[in-house]
Amino acid sequence: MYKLFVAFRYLTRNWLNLVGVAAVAIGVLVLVCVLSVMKGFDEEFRNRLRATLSDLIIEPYSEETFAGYEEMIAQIEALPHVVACAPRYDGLALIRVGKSRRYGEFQGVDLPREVKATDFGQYWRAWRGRAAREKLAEIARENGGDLAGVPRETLLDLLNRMRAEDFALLPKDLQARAARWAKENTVDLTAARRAAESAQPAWTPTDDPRFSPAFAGSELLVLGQSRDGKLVSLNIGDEVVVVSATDVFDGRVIRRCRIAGAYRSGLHDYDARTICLPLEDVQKFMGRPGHVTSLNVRLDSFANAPKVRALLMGILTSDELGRGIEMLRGIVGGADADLRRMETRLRELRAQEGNWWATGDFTVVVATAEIETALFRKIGAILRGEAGVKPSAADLEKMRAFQKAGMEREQGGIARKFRISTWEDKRRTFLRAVWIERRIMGFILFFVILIAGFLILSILHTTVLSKTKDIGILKSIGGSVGGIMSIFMLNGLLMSTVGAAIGAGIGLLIIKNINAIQDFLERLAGFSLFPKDVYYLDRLPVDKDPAMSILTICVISILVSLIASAYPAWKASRMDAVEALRYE
Amino acid sequence: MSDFLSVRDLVREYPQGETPLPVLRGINLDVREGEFLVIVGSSGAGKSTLLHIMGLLDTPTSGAVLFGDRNLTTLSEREQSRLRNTLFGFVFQFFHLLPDFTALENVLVPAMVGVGPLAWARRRKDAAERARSLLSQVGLSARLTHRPGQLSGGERQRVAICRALINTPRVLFLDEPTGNLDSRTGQEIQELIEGLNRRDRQTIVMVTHSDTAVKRASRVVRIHDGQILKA
Repeated sequence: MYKLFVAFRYLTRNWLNLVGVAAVAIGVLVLVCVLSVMKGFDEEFRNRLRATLSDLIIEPYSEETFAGYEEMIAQIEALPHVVACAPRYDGLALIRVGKSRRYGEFQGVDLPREVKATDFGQYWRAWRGRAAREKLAEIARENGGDLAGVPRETLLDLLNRMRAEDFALLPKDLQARAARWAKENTVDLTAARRAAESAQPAWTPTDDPRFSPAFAGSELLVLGQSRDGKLVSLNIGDEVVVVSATDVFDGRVIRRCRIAGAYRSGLHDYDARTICLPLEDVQKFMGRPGHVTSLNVRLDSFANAPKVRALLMGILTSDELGRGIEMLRGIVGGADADLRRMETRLRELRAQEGNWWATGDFTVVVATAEIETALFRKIGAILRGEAGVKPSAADLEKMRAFQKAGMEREQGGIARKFRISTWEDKRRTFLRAVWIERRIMGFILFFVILIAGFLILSILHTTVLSKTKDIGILKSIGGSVGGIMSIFMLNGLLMSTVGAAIGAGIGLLIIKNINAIQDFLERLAGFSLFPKDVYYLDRLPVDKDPAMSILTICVISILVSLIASAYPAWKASRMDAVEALRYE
Repeated sequence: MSDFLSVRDLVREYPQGETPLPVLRGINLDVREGEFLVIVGSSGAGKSTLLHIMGLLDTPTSGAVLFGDRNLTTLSEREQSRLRNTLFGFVFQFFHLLPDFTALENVLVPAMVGVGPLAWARRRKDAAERARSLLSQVGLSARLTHRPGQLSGGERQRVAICRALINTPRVLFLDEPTGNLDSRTGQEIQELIEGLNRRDRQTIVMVTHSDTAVKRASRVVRIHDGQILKA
């Protein structure tokens, strides 16, 4: 008990100890805040990168397009874990917007299926909500902040387009005014928001057969900036021309479109370079009726992607391969050379599956096929009695069942001529860059904690020197070598624990209120600390569930401090009691 | 052969270049239970070293410290620490109180040694009660929450004595307890120590220069040049 008592007293009665507490607190605080924002950015960026990619993307290996996709979709949608599947006809294009020409991509989509299989609908709602928000702010400005004189229909229409998050992004006073207006005019805001959340994009048919309706990326429509800083963009109903590069007809196809709406994924490149047209129109003007370039498959969870991919390709998953090898091991024994080779390859495959950024889908498929072939060859050899083992009747039965299941899988595969990638495969380079960046940042920030650790070391060392006499006294009243060591270790532990708790607490408060703090600082500084148009974000993103990372940071900082306190504590415990007590 | 504390053929040398410097050269001494033993001798004669070795604060170069038939010098460091806490009490010339703790806490710390936090929670009240009563016996009931820096020399030494007594030690070692006090205060402390011996039959081993102490001791041992002088 005296150890804790003395250690605690040293913590509270020694200002240097409080400096140590502050050092750990600051270190933990910085780490919590920076890593939280980084992780927030990371998640945000991941979602952005994904844009309208679904969980799995099926494309032909060699051909540009393929037909018969309706049957494939029906088969794919019958697979487990598959939520929806949508066809696409993508192509490179020159897009003429106003007087400028942009290089980009057109996408022929089947809208009802597209919104089920990708986030297209969400991006359309995001654009719609944002546009409504800007319009409302403009109307309020024109009416001197008063909404009373605005026609009911206009306001109702705008409110019906704004989702809860759009509403929350309105300036505070405008929010209050809109709420008051809604109350006075008996408009149910919750219902309006629900309507905005569930609204679905639809083509607005053009009566002129020369035009196709089109949804454009929100940035594609921006023509420029007027002198007063306002963005000039195309509006609904304006004309856009898509020029496709193709080997059909003279090398190019021109299609005139009328804007039916827009979408905003938040990935600038995507929003500035893509335009969506009705799938049939694209098939028609590309001269490939009944053809598409890819299928987008949405799953119940991205974690099931390897499983569904294996089903689609008619190959076994790594888990199934593992079970097969396990079964053979029971029959021929673990020392078999073929089996050992298969196990090694399987281990490599599993590592590759875990490191999606390091290898592509193709590597995984080739490796799987290789192990599968070896496995079935081995089973065949045993069944024919060429392997020199005499399996029991039950084992024979098991092997035959496995063989049969493998054959069924192979025949059941529907997309063997296709490359099947996950969206992560497609965005590998970007994702990897983000991942590495965060690792490096975490590594650099770890040094902050390390500095706190060194500070604790020097503080404790100083404490030990100044407490020489105390150490002698404690020894004279029965303190052992271990006891003295514990006192100073505990002292370090208390410093770091209290510091980490304070740092984590303040850090948590900051990240919970980061946007309010940002607003406050911006008002104070008079300029934007976090320009929304640069980062293309409305709010500073933070880690939504920071408990785990905070815990990790705290544990690491406490461990580092504990290691740092070991040396001074050891030094203290070695002190000679008589020497320490000799002088006043 | 004593059945209480005794030392046998005690030698203590300090390493110093080629030839070690001997401080104690073969001391044999029996402490009898309940006696007031005073050790006197000139400066550097080895009195304090003898006291430290007897109290297990220092280790002899050779020889043994015996308690009953147990050889204490061969015990583990941990075991020796435990005995320092339970068997012996120390009072030093320079008081040696913990400056960050109040008088009461200083007295209580030895009672906490070797006690886990849970056991301490149960025992705390009794221990605090005993500490308070010890402090009031030496007239410090009004000074419980003062820290050493706020106490006079005599008061500090009384706190130190209470601290030495909290675990009811079998032997109380005092190393020139009045050496750093003015004569009147020294006298008071002297009487306090005598009282402990007379009233409570507390075994006391004291190193001192003070003549009054020599007069009232039940036995006086003189040390000269690391050896006990025959009376």
